[in-house]
Amino acid sequence: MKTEEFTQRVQRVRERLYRTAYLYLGREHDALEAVDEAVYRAFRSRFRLREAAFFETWITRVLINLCKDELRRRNRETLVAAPPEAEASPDRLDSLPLREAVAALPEPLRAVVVLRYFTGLTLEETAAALKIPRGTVSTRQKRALELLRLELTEEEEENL
Amino acid sequence: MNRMEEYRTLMDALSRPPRELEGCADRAVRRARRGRRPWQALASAAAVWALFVIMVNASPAFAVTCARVPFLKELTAAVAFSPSLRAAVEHDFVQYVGQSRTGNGLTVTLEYVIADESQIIVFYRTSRGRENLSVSCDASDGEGRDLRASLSQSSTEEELKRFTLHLWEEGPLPETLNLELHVRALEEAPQEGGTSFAFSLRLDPGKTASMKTVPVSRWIELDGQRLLVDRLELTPTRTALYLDDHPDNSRWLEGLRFYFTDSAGRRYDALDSTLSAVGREGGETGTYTYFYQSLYFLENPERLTLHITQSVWLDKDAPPILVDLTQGTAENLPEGVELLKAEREGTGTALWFAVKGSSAYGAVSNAYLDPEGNQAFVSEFSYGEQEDGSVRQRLLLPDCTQGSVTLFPAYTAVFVPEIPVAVELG
Repeated sequence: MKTEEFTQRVQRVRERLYRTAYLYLGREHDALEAVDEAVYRAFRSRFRLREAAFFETWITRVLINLCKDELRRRNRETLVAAPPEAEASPDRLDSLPLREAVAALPEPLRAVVVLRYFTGLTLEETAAALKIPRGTVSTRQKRALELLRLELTEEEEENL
Repeated sequence: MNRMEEYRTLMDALSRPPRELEGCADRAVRRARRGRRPWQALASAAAVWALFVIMVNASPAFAVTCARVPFLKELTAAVAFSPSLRAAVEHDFVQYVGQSRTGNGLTVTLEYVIADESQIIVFYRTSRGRENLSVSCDASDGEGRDLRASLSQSSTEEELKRFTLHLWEEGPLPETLNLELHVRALEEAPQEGGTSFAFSLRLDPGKTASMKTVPVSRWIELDGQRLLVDRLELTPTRTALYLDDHPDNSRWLEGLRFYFTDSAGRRYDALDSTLSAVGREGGETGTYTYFYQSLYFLENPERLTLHITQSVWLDKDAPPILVDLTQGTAENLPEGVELLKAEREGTGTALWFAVKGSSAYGAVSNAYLDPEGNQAFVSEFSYGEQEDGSVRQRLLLPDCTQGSVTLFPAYTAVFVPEIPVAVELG
């Protein structure tokens, strides 16, 4: 992929990337840094991407891995020993603002809900980005929406 | 506010991202340009591992031209191993600069430039004498427009050193060339240390000849795969051969060895550069550029014949290589490649491969997946030739000592035709 095409493709997906990073990391500055790093890493290894059609899911995967690394780093810095993750339940999540509730979801559910409902990837794209079967995406998104008590209309899903 | 109202509010806020987001792609490209020095690492490794003896073969014309240029002996030595640069010097394409800048106790002097529409070679020295320093460079024209280029630099024990800016966009060179050099010690990380030096050069249009193109557009078949020999582009400092592949090919072309002959049967076989470029569009077809010694000064380049002696291929559905760092075992290695050992080095693991046969290509690509599935990059790569002609390769995987990593093969097969495949270019 040539530099010009890479730049154009990044321009098309950068806002989606930012939303993903923001929902993972919760701070504007951190989200911008994560997007910058993901775009840089993607640029360096762009010749390994054999199908340009998969650019968005590929760079999204790079970004999510970076965000997870950053979250692990924060945990190491702030906790001597990480407490057992409290089980996510609708009641517990109800008490949190939506962004924090998303962040409190178990990682597999959080990844799906961020990509499907905040970034706007389709079921197929989400499956490709997370390297999981389409059916697993469906199951996880249903569970995540129940936990968050989100009921999106079809129109809202289409307008993402 | 209920959850759905919260959702819409959050989406509304996210639809107005910070303005800094707009420049993320440009920042990545600039950062990659600043940090790009893969050939330097390769050259350093080669200096340690292999000894190449090449006879200096200066022609009378070369010597006469050098006599007109200051520091004859040094420039002679600096270009003696490059047929292209020797030809450029011979034909008086050297421009003397003679500018010095000092900062942080270090003086950098730009001595000469050889420039054409494909690349700019800068000869320089520093007050550190023979010590090799790391150089990165941003180039722009007289109006401040960036010249997009990657930089390669090879280590040398001479005081007169050089780096090359490989221009990404071909076309006439500007009359004013601004170079901002960032020079640092080899052991310093790119983000720390170092000193910047700004130079402004006037390029003589009479010493920046235009490119010549030899159109070919001919399909050939190699090992059951089809390749289009598209064209040859010639500038004073190098030749570029352009190939495309066919969408029905089951393999990607990963390497090509070839030489040219002219109508009198004279053979030109100096690769003259490790640099090649690969672009792959839509996962179906690839475009390939191979850089070769300059044939610019031949009288009839359209009468050249291309002879292909070896092609290296990667199956499009080649499985990744799985390496168990703990056990020191590997699955799905390419043909002729063996994992010798996996040994811990500091916080990382060094993988040692033996590559048999006539191919000296790297066995795996420099990007890999760490045990957690995250993409990472090989931090050191070195190789050395053995007496039996095989090659030893060492890759250092940083911060990785246990579990399994996923590497990607750089090739799966090497094809050597019994008789070189000949393609008349005219």
